[in-house]
Amino acid sequence: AEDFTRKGADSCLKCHDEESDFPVLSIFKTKHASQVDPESPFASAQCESCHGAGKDHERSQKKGKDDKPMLTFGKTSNIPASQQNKVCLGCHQNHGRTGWTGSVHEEEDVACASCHQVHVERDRVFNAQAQQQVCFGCHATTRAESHRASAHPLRFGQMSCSDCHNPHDSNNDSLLNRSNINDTCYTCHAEKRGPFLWEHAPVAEDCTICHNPHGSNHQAMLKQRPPLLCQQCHSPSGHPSTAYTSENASGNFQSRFVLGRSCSNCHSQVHGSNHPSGATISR
Amino acid sequence: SANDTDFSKWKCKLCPDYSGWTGDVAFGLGFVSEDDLRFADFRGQDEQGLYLAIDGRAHYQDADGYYFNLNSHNLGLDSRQLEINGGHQGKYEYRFGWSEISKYRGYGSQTPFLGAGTDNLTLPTDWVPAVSTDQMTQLGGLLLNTSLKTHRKILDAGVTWKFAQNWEYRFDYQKQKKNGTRPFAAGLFFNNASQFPVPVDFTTDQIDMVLSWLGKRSQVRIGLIGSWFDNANNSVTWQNPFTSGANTQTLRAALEPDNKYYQLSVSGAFALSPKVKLSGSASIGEMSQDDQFIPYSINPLFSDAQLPRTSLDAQVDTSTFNLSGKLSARLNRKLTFTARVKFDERDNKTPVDLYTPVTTDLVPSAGRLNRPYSYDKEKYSADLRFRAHRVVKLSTGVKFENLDRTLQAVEESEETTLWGEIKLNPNAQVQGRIKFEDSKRDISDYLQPDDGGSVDHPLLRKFNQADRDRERLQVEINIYPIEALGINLSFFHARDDYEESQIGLQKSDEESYTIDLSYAVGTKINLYAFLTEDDIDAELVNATGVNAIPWNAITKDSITTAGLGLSTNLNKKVSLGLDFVSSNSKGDISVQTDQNEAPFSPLRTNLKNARIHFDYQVNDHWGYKLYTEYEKYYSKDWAIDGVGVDGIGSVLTLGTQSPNYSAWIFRLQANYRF
Repeated sequence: AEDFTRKGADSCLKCHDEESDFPVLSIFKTKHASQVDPESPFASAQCESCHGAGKDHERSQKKGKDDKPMLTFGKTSNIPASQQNKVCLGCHQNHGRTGWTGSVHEEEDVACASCHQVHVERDRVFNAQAQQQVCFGCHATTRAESHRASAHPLRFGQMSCSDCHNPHDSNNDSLLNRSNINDTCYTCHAEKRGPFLWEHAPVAEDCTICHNPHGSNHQAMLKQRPPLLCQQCHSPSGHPSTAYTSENASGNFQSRFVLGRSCSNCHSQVHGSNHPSGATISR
Repeated sequence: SANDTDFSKWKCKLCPDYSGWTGDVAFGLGFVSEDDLRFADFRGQDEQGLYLAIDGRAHYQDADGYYFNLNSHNLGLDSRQLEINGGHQGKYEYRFGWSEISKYRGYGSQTPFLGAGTDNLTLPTDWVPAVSTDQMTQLGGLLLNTSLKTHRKILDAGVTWKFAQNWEYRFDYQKQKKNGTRPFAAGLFFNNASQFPVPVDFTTDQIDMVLSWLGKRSQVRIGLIGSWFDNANNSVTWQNPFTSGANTQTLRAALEPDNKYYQLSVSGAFALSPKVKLSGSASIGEMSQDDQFIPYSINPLFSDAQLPRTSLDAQVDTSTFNLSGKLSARLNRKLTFTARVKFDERDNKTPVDLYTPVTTDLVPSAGRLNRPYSYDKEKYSADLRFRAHRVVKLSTGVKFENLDRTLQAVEESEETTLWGEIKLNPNAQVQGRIKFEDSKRDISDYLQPDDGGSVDHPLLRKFNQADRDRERLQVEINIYPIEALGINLSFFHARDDYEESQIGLQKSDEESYTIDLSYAVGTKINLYAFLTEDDIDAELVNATGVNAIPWNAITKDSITTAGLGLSTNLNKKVSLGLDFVSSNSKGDISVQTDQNEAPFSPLRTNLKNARIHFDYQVNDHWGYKLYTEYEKYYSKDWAIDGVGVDGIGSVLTLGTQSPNYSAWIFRLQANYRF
């Protein structure tokens, strides 16, 4: 049996108001405070739906003691993440969160409230720029990558991490929104989906063989610079893989295989070609 | 007790009533100091001068559960966003979104071609072809500035309907339109090539439907995705600016064909018992493409060449099955076991035919079979996590991946990964984590595919199909010496070795160091600073032929990213934010032959960005918002800098240069709050 306070939120709000260390009243601007939605915490035990029954806490506070703490949330809480999350998942283990169990974030003891804010009008993760700061709090290398010369427009707030990743679901690799990497990329780059008459094998298999989607100091988020990028996999007879040195970047020995678009001065169709004569991805 | 408590008697008298409309409308003017295209990239501010600065936010809620939210950003710019949602809580929700993003490429591009943005590029009537760009005497006088810009517009609309207890239906529709031009290049055999802008006129319609059911011990979702891509241009023709025969004065290339994609998926989770939980997903999909082929060549000599079919009738079936099972051994509350299985298949059913390509509209080649690539991936993994002590958590796991490919050099590869992790949490002030991962990939025989195309060096091993040893190390230390101060240190190292590859990628190394500081001054001011150093190295060996002496290339990319800032709400009237970030990269490349070759001059990019925002609330309704941003960018790239349109004798380029700029934005808005 659980022992609730005598008056619910009216008991809590006597102490916990906007002037306290953790201002709480903005929750009444959110869905959690709805009293008409039967799934909302305020339709039943109000604050205690999430923070646990508070009779003992109320009594100890009245006695001037602080020995009966409520269930608190977030990174700084001393309640284990799994225990915190059990409360949230009591209502939210649905939709995109069916794969939470066994997910990397669950196994790394990430609490829901480490990322989400409940007592604010708009949770920061719903703002593209604020969301990435939450993610970068742990994924520091990705933050650095997002500022590289060629990167998706996260730093402009035009994209957010959740455009590609679902932080709640483990079922796909790298917590991707779609079944695999290429399906995720095709969401915005459908022109590269094909299928083409002449496929470029690594393109059809995995975009990240050539690209780093988080950012690169090379153009088009390429991991390496052409012609070396291409020469990692190509050394064909009739079109030999020549050593293009710094001599070929200028002066009398300058080379079209090095300057301009390098290999793609001719082989532009690296993502595949539907031209009947496009076998060498140059049409 | 819970059973005795009648929550309806809790009056919530102290609960504030926020029913009604609230929101902000910020309007004013902004100023951009430069008309630099790189600065405008994604920002959508490509012209120097004034622009309208309009942002808005509105929120409505009432006691009956109806709500409405509107958020908008940069409505006065080419890159803008609007997002709306509303509904009746617990019953239904509707959503609407509109966003536009501008993307710029090729800074300082020029071209003599007329018709940029169309699928037919011609040269001025007085154009005189030449064998080399330096002999194109009229070129300088005929060059036109060309802006390689694409503009993406995205419309989102959707509804969610909770039509019964535990049941929910969600439907989302998205239309993306992308218009503009992008750079392209193609040539005439080995003789010459041209760069020119090709049209982008893409439309993608997408629907995403989900029916979900939520039970106490299980959840199930059934989803359907449909995506239709349409390209208004199936090819581009261009006039050959170089001297050529009468039949190759106009050339043609294909552009991306229309395509379709459908995917049906089922996902769910089930708690077999309090100790054992299962979750998984399964999906089947189909990609198809059946655009009408263009002829083998625009060259009239080949106008009668018969294609084996008029369109590809391409079809790729995809299927993905994920299953994750977690067993929590609660007998001692210390042990957790997780197992995962994944199957991912790409079954390419595109018909195979013998084509006789006309290479670059000039050279008829021997018959060649198209190669519809398929793969079949299987992944199995198991993790064991053990809380050995109050302060120590030990984890270990094994992963096994099997990848079967068709029509490629390697039919089968297997990779086994072992990993271990130690987490230490001695007290609230210190946390540490170290994780080590070791992988070994073995391949079956490496065989040259026989598709009628050219044959690679027999010792070449494409790195994604080669034997590989991989090591990864992650170390993280979080220290909180006082409650207000956080110090996070992290180190990441990844190393790939391809020791069995005599020709091809030999190894790649990546190291990343980060220090991250945060400090809270009271409850009003937050400070942060970070520094990340990334080093990415690779070594490649290749050769011009079987009997040639191999050459090698060593690349080293070093990127330093640093940032600092503060945010403060000094009081209810004043808030201030300062952010600065710097990202500098240096790319060193050294290609060595049997001669003593000098390294390439370093590639460089250098970004510095500073932003300040200052908000002042005058009274309950009116306030001011001041925002200023300064950005300086410097880059250096020997592949394009100083090359110019005619810098390569056999390639007529777009003359693109590395972007360099310094620019700032100033914005002042009045803000009305209601």
